[in-house]
Amino acid sequence: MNLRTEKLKNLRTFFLFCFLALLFFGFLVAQAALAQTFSLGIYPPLLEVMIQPGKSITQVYKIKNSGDDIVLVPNIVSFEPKDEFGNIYLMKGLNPVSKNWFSLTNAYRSLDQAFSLPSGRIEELVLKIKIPQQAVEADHYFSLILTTSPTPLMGATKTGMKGVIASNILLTISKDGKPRKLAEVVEFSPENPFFANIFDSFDKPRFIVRVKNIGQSFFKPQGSISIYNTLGQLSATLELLPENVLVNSTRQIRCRAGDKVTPCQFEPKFLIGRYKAELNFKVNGENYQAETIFWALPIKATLALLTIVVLLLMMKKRIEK
Amino acid sequence: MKRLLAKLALLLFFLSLFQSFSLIHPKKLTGANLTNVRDILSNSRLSFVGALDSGNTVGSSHIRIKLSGDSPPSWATSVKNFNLFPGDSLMVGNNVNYEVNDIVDDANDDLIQLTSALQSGDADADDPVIATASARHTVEFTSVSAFANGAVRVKIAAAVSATDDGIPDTGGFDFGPITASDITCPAGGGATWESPTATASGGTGCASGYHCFECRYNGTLNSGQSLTMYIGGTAEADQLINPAPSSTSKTIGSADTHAFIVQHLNSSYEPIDTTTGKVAVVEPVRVTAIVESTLEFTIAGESSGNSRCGQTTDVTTTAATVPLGTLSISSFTDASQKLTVSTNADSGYSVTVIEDDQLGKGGATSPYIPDSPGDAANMTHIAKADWDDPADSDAKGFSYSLQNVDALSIAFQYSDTDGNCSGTTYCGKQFPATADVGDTTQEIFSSTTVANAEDVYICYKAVISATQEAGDYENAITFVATAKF
Repeated sequence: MNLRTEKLKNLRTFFLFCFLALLFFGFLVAQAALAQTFSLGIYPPLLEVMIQPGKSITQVYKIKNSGDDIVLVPNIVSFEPKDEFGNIYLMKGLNPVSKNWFSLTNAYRSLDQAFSLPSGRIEELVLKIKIPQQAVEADHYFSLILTTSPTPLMGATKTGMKGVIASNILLTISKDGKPRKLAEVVEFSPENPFFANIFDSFDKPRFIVRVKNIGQSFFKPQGSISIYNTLGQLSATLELLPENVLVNSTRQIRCRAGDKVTPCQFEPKFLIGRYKAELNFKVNGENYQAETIFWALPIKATLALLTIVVLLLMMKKRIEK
Repeated sequence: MKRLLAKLALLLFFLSLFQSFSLIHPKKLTGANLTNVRDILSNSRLSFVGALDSGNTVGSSHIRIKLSGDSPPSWATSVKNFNLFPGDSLMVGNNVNYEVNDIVDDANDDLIQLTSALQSGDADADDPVIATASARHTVEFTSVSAFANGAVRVKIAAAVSATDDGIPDTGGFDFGPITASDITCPAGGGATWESPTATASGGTGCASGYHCFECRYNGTLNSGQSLTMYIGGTAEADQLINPAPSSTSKTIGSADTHAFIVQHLNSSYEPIDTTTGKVAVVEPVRVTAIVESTLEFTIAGESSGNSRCGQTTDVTTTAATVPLGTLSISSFTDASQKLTVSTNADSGYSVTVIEDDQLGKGGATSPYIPDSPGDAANMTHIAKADWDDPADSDAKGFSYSLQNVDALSIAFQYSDTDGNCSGTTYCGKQFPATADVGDTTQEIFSSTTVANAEDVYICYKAVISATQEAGDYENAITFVATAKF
């Protein structure tokens, strides 16, 4: 082998070695840190309490950190119902009346005081609710919120994230355990008629049920919608989902079929004639009723048929011409 | 030799004569035990027979029963609420129309919640509280003796008295509503089976202590035949009523046993083969599991280079920070995070968002990078709008959009074509700000029912004007996840 060939061979080996070395070391270089995770779980997410004035209760909340190490600040704020669908509007703190009702009985844990929760850990916060003797019998609604703090990142334009998870507390103060629970049916009507209260024969009528709380304590309406056909026979029963209706608020109530939450929808194969839907529910043993009448006609089929007839007549005229 | 033979013949004659005497009064044939005998209950649950305690009131849907220490009547042997379950039909007082709604697990275990209130006349102390449990008996056995035109009789333990009133008894099964038509005779075995009979304890041909059920057959029932006889129909209304606990001191969870007898009778109704067995009834185990309703919320950062909200992201984010870095004056900087919620609360959840203020230099209120008004100056924290032109000097700023993966309900998406969005490239909104009076948190996604890891991408977009003062700008965005009430 001559010298030139030898040199070329050595050069080729050298470059191959460099390439392989670069490749190898490339794998050793740390990858850009993939995104961290904030992942927090809280249970229970809803607490319903009835308590006498002068009494206190404790509730254990479990906080699970499934993400990275975090620092959390627990706090209690009041909330109001935001809409008719169970959403809440968190207030900026507690109203003065309930300011001193809440505390944590854990050693080394206090409300409004940060604590660290390492990744994978579960922390139990024991919330004590102590009602003063002179507290007025009424409902109060709160959220236990846990807030993280944004990580400071110097020297860059950035948006920092705060994650907050909240668990709701529906508190009823009552001396005798029988607060006045009163409801009012604000609306019970078909939601999706073809026109006025008329459905097409192949439609699936859906009903809006809006219930207002005009009493002193939240309640869950228990009942159903019964649908009767032209002959007065029961065609279907839709069971109401017992959802909380808070004081001085209105809630749109949904239905349920077994374990499944559903809209209040009647699903027959075919409708014809006059129907009556009766809403019946109980609150605290008292019955509430409302009814609505609707009709079903084969509108779409009739329109389609008419269209065909008109078209045929037009075609016939044209042919005759 | 001849003499000897004669003597032998005479001896044999007298022996056979003596032998024949025994045939005048032959010993009765003694029967064997039937084999593989068992009585399988379709429901081995004890019936419940308790008594109301004092202090129960008309109109209340909660009732208390007497415990063993409250001197219950002798017939009330159920002294804890353990053997009742939601959905059980209950007789209280004279009214059979009650139903158990829940069993209250308190220190005394004597409280039962009904689905309806107590009626007048049903709230007195010592009023009965009764829930019957019924069962179909499947009696299996193997025949031993083979003879013609016999019968199979099954006898099932009955109490000493009141064995046919539909009320559970402590000493045995109550005959209740059962009739002959609820009995199914065995089939086959070489015989032809006739219609069955069912007689309550103490009835004709059925001595006290047992209820009697018979199936006669014609022909010969062969030996070694595996046979099955059913006592009771498939419906509860056609079955024997299971016993109540034997006494107030019976240990919860240990079975009471009651006898049953299976007999193979000959044509003269005499039992030839007999086997006695035991059948056990016990409180079923109520397993309670507390499924804690939970709410879990996750914010995860994303690496750059992903396609999100119709854009390719330019920066890698973390759960806690979206480091927009050096912003351009001529092109957008895009970033994203992933939000995930899981809850088994029936009412569902809501995730809302709010910023503390616009991106301010050093976190201050001024100077700031404004929230973008969009291409047509109609983007707000409530109204979505298109924002596609990074060169539009009137639209410079910061906004966000959403891309739904599988959340049940989302406020809007980058690809919307309604409202102020035409579906060109990017439909966005401004963040609501706590610094702006009147701004409130805005819901970005939610569910009205349970949710299993519902995901949404939130996308951030920014571009600055040429006159934006140099420096580091920042703000804080708060995501709030709550269960609906």
